[in-house]
Amino acid sequence: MSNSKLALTRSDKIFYFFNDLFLLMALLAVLYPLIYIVSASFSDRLAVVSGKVVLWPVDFSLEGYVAVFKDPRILLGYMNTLFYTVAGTSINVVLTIMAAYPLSRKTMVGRNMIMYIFAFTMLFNGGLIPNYLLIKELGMIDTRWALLLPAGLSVFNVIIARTFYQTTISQELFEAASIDGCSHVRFVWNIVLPLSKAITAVLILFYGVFHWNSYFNAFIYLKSDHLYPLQIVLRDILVQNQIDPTTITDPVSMMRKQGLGELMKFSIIIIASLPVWIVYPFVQKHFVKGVMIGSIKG
Amino acid sequence: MKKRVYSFVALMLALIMVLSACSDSGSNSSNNLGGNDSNTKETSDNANSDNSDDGGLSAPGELPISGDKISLAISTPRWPNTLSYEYGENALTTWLQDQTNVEVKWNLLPDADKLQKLNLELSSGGDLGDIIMSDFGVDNSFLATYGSQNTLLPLEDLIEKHAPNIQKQFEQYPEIKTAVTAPDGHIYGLVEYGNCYNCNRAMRFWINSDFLEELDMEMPTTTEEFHQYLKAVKEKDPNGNGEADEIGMTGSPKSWYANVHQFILHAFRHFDGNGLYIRNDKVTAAYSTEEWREGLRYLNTLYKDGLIDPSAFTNDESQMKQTVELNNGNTVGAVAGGGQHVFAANEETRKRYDIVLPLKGPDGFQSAFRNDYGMIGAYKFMIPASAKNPEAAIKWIDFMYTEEPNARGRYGVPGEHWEVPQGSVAANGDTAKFRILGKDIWQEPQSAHWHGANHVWSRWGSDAREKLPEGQFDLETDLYEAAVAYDKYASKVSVPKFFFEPDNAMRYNELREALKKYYEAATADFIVGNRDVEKDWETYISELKNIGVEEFIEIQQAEYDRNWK
Repeated sequence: MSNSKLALTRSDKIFYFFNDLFLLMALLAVLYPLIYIVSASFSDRLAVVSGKVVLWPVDFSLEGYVAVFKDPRILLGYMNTLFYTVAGTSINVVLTIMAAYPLSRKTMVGRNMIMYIFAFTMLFNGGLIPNYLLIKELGMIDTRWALLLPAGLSVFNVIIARTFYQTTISQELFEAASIDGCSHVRFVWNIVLPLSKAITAVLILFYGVFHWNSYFNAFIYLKSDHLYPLQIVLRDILVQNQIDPTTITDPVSMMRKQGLGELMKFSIIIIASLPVWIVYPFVQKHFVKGVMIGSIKG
Repeated sequence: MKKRVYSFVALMLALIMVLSACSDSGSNSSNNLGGNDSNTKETSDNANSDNSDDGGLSAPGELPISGDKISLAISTPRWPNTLSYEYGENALTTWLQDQTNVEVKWNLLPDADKLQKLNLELSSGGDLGDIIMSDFGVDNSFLATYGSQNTLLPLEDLIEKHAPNIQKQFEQYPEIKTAVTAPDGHIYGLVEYGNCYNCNRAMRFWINSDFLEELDMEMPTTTEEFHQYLKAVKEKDPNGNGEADEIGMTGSPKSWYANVHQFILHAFRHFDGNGLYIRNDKVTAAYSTEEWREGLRYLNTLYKDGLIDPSAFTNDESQMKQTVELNNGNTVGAVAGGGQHVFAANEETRKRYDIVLPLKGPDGFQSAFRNDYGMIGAYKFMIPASAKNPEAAIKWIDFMYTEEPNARGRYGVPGEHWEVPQGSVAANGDTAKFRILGKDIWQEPQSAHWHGANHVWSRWGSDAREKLPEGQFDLETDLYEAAVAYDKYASKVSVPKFFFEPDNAMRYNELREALKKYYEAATADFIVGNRDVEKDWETYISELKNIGVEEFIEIQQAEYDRNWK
């Protein structure tokens, strides 16, 4: 560190110089596309298509943003995604803690077996069509529940949380509490949760980002367009379907999505990722910490 | 003690898994069978009961379709630019319901992965309602598969009883009926009639007319003259900015016939969109011929002289546009593409590019692409076997084969979005059939139509639009005139769209995909010199044979001899 007064050797200096140079280049490589998207979102559509936008906005225009905010489906999708993220994350976090805490207690009977069964589902599952049939038989097709319940618990996150509880909440703590007549439920609520805010934050972030970005479950299980999350709406606008050129019946039909796609492409990307951009800096430190904690073998 | 608990738990677990596996598969299969049985029964019941009394439905071809208001559930991809599909909000939905007395209950699927969604729903017994509408990208092997599994309803009897307009189309264009009839004799899907003269002659090529003028050159007519032109573009700075920043030619493999090789190779050999041709009743793969090789030699020379943009082999459409638009559209000497709109973004640039007529090769060979089966468009309508009211469904579909639903489905509300002009001239030289009022809403956010989802039989093509005033960029006129000029060099060589048995269809699809991927990559490699046309040609041919080019040709030859000769 800099406050250790050891002088850098010549080879250290060379190493640091190249290291910094390398990191700077890596930074630029990551940063440039972001800046480009922001600039392109504020530029005129023709300037973007003609490749005139290099770093800063050209022919400043808010046309893209106006189009996005005028579009009822995008706003509806946004609200839906917010709902799925909040409701889904709540269910996830509650279930994960309820599974992870008991599994972290050594007194629990058969906990290794249960853990094996949990882990089994990480490696094997029924596959797409059986899953679909299951959800259909459960009557969840085309309901909001289909996005909340089947993804209710991620075993990976249970393992992280369990390891955290195992290493930081000692058995003696519960023994001390139970002498005063504390039950497991009260122990979790009053002692474990306040002591493990970091892991809760990590769970919220993991699950939150998962719900925000998830699209496949919605694609499979939903049919009503008023239930679609933002990601489905985005894909519909941005993804150009492959067309068989021999079936084209109108020269203009070749330009199917361009009008909308090119106008909104960049502004929509910005708007869709804005919440994550805003939240991420605040939870980033927990993110790193949480993963580190989870990675210690219990 | 602990060990015993373990083994007990393990045993229980094993037992549970075995049991659940059994019951799972048991209930699944019985479910599926039950579902299919009841479905087929239901439809046949329906058909019977409807024959005895007409269930309130009208006589064939008459409106409204039903005396009492009925509803049909339609599955269709939700077009992102159509803001609403509901009655009272969408003009087409409203008009159709008022005409037919049939209320549409929408089942809107995500557009971006529509085919995947359709596959999932069909193979897991999902409810797709009474009608599957719009272009899902379905091919014949899809229909053969789901048809033979009784997931899709055979339509020929329904058509005969209830659909005079569809029959009319079949009578007028018997090729369409042949093309949609599966080898088992059933019709599982209905196609759009492709009424587009210029789309079937769309392997076009364009030259920057400002450059020609600046260089004081004539429009190239042979491959040799074209080579000279590109050289001049590269060396003589025709855009006059003092820098040698000109690009000879560019293109894109992901647009409308914008591959750099397709047009130019027609100076050596004729072929269709899949690189095949039929001459004297014999199917041949053009990409395995000596003439194709000769064409690659020529393209390789161009590339070695630095006249082909290296990114032409990887560009997507918007990257190609960016290249063409460099220096305000004064950079690229020649571009491949179905129309100026696919490679140029600005109107000024689009006007600058003039059509190149088919070039004459070194041996005097000259040909133009023509798709002789372009009238057989994409599949637009299917009826799932689980449909509750197939008679009403086919009658509703039949109404789409009349004129007005097609015009409304493509251009919007008459009088508001388009109108019939009085005796003016169309882009194709005939009397104009329509004039667009204001901007074409096709790509705009709108609630006037379903973006062509119901479009199956337009009586006039898009080139029947009134000619635009002189000086304005008029895509339809340009493309029509280009197509007329190209047609003189075209001959009937294209391979029909065959309808194979399910097994053959699968094999055909596999081979087509594998061969296409291989020969297209190899073509690019030969042009840029990653493979040597002289040394590596033999390896290329033997690799084609390994993939199965001979079997691929045989399957098609047999089918051609059987049904299309």
